[in-house]
Amino acid sequence: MKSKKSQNSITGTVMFIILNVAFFSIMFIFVGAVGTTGGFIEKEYARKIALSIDKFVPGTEVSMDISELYSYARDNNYAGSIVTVDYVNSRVIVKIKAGEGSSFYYFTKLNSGAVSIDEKKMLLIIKV
Amino acid sequence: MKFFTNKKADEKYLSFWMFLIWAIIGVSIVLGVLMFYSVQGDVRQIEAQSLVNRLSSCLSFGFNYEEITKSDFNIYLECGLNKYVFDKQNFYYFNINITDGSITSQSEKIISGGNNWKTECDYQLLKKETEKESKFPQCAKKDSIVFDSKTNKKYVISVIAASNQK
Repeated sequence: MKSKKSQNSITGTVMFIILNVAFFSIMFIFVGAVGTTGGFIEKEYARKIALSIDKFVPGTEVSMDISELYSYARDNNYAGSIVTVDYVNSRVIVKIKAGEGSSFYYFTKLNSGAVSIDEKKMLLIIKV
Repeated sequence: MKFFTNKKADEKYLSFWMFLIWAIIGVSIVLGVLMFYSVQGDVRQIEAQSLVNRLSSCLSFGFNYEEITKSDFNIYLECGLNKYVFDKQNFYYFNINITDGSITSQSEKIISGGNNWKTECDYQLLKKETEKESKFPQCAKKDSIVFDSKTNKKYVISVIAASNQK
């Protein structure tokens, strides 16, 4: 009777530990992965680019490293344009996977072609 | 307490309560992470500050009161702003107040654009930094003293700008 009880206790404890480890592993993976999901990265870069456009005084040229975007796009097998600028609506659109991407507005009046990409160096060049 | 002590060992640990605790912890972590990223992504204050700086520096440089008070003065053109975004999108607001700095100011010029968030900004700018409410557009203010490039008369430019783009 006693050994059956202790066997039950060990099985229960082992199950409890396994389930706890599984649960907290899932949580750790979720916390680590959520910040690097496509939507977050797209939104973050759209914000960064729009803020860079608005922050600098007209006449400034800014270059921004977007190699991270290229690497995410490659992982997602996305070969379309990564950063697009809608000059009429003052909107930056960032896409690293097929779909609508993420966009962010800026208030500066930019000339058409003010934002270009140096694909070799993976740099975004903004002429404010 | 009987629920926990008088059962078999596996039931003691793998009870309904254990799963409920996991669910509570899981939901709390998910909510916490999502809240962290949403707060981190709130750049409205930075945008409002950028707009204030842009307007303030643009008006201060070679300041000419007579030029600014002309009916055909276009703030959007002068400061390199896209009027379309201010008129069509509900994201931005600015209010520029130019006075000669005296209490009984003889000359005063007010230029504003975008959404009318004057009340929200006045209320928010009165409150302390920590008390700012996230549901309101975020506002920034800058006062600068300038001298007219022609008359050398002193003026005070007070710029308030707000952003509500999330």
